[in-house]
Amino acid sequence: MLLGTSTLIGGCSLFDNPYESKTLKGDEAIELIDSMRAKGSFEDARQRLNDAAKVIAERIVDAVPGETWQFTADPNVQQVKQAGLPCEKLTGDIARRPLSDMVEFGRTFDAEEFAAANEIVREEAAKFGATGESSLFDEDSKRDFDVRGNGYDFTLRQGGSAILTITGDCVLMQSVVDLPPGQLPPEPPIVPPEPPIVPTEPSIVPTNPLPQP
Amino acid sequence: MRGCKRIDTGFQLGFTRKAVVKGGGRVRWASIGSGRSALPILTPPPAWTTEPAIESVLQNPRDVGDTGFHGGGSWPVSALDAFYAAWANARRTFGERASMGGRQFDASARLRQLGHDVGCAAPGPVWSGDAAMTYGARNAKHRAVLHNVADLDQRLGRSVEHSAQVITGARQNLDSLRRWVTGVADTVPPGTQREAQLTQIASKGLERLSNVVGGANNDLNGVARNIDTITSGYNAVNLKEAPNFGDVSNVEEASHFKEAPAFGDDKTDMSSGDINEVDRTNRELLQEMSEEYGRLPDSQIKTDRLADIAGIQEGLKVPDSHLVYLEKPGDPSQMIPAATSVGDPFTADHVSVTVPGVGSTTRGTIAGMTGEAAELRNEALSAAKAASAPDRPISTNIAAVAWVGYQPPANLGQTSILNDDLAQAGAPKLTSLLSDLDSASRNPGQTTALFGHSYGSLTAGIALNDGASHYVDNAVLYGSPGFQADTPADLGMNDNNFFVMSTFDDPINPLGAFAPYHGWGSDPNNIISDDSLRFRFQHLETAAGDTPIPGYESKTGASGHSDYSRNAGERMTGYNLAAILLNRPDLAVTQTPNSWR
Repeated sequence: MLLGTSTLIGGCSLFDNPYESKTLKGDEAIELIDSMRAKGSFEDARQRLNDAAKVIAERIVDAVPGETWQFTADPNVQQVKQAGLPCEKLTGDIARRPLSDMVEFGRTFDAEEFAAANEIVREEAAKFGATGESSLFDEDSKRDFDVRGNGYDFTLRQGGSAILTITGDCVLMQSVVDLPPGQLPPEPPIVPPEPPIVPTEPSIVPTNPLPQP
Repeated sequence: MRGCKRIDTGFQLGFTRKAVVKGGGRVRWASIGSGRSALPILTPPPAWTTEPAIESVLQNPRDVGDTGFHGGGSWPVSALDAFYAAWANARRTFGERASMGGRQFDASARLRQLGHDVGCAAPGPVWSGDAAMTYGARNAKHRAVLHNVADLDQRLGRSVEHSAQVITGARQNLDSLRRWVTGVADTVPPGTQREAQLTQIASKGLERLSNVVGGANNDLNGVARNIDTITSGYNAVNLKEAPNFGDVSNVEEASHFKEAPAFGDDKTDMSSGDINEVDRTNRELLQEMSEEYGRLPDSQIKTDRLADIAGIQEGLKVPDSHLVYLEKPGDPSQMIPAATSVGDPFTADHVSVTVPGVGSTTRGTIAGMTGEAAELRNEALSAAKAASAPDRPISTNIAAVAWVGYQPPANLGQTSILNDDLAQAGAPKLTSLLSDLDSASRNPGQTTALFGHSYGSLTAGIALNDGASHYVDNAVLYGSPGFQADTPADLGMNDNNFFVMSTFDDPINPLGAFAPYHGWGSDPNNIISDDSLRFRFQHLETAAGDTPIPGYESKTGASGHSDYSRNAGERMTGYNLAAILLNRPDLAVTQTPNSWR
């Protein structure tokens, strides 16, 4: 009975390996890398996203009396946002998707304020070519605003607090941009080199002063 | 939440490792395992287990001797008498007393707890220096021995259980067969054809008898082989590295153990709980393996192992990933087991461990799984920030582990998909990883979520059933063909921390529907109709929709067998995994039978 069942479903997508890596190798990877050079580096892209987040936050604060903002002080969030996310077709040492630091607003918006804030996000997102708004569940009562396009995703949402995040498209790491075209970056060593030991400044006061004659 | 408790030193391992198997007749006595009495493994006598013996009875019924049924001892006997004689002998072979279950031979849960407790006595950050290192190394070896003995105990218990099931099944089949023969014979009318018809019935009965005994014999031989292997495992345990082994009475045995290689030398020791140290040590081993396998002559084995290593390397290119587990298989033809972690699983407040399913290999899977772990962590982090409230904050200190530590069937075309052998083999390894992570954790408030996909859900279910639930706070099994449970309690879980996800069009659902018929528990999607329709196991939503977090973005749906963990930030399934990872089932979106169909 089980054998029959297996045979029945044997030709379908169950044979797919859902975890299979889709990263490109060899010439295909080189071609993709070279096609991405014009987009600049991950490090620069992340800086641009943070700049955009800052502009949006400041414009919203100017438009909404009593509102404040800050980039999150949560070190866990900072670490994740700084590292970025993996790309589908290139490994993490070659390219990543940049994430802006998370903007946390001091308080949530009322409906009118939220509409004004959305408009600001919409305008700034358009500068990145992101003009498609999420319409999966287009309800007035919803308190999240999502603009996507050109590889970018601008999200303003408020639950317990109001938060702005921006995700960018896949871009090359600076170390790859710096290499000449037509080649793959060198494979990183399995065991990374030990970080250099930073010499400490000699103490002005010896910890064990010599006895005076 | 779990934490280190005071070590109870009252429990000591007491091996009885003497002659492993004695006798060659009907009963094999295996005196192995941790602190238990001798174990009888029944095997049918050769006279009744071979085809020629049965053939002999069929051809010459008088050879059977006293039947004890139809006027026993009187000659000539009928064909039916021959059947009853053969049946009686076969039935005696399988005895009358209740078969011993395997649980009484399995002290694995206790051993794992002891290993956990020993781990709690490892040097912490407040004790350093040479003495601490020496003691720490010894402590780690003690734990390795305890974990290995626990694994062996678990396997032994399972083998004994299987043996008991075979014997019980054979008894039932024989009883049923006798009733059938008697019933059919009673319907034969008197007359000249009666004896001929009875001979035909007896012949058919003996044929079936042969099948029953032969099948049981094959199964019991398999059990015996398993126990031989387990015995070798017990013998190989390095007692010098085990705590409280004072009962090695045999000098020859003691010297054997002294020379045996220590377990755990070829796999990760994560007892330091220092992710950077563990990662670096594993990378150094991976480098060694790369060089060693690179020197192998060109072959498929060399290609596969170097591909395993390349897959691990690719996974380690995912931002903030670490090689948290690595094992060098003794046999180079075996896949290299490994686990990566995005984030630090030793200090994180919330940790997930994901088990892959059919078709998953280190070379083809671990890189993709590590990328998905990064996506899952990011989604969990976003959900945590969105749902966190001053009176109930949610930690953003999160780690996601991708484990490729066992060999599932390569595809559904393999016969291994038809049984749970590979899941049974993988489950103790999964439990061992969960135990090691738990022991090495520096965060007593840490929560652990176990995720199992496809055949990996079967492996996870077996592991939970066998004691892994001790280390798991929540579990989600998805795309499941069954996980050997009829209730969450069978797995040491409950309705509030054990969940299933099934897309409505997952092609594995029909396979899950057959789970009860081949011993894989209830259909994961079984619907119970009492006052209202409900799933036997709590289901989480897979279709598009909103989340309970106000202002949190709507999620897209998943379909088929492979979407569950893809693009965690966008899909409802990814959101639900994130909510469970955060130990907040109340934030997950549940599903009802009405919305599923």
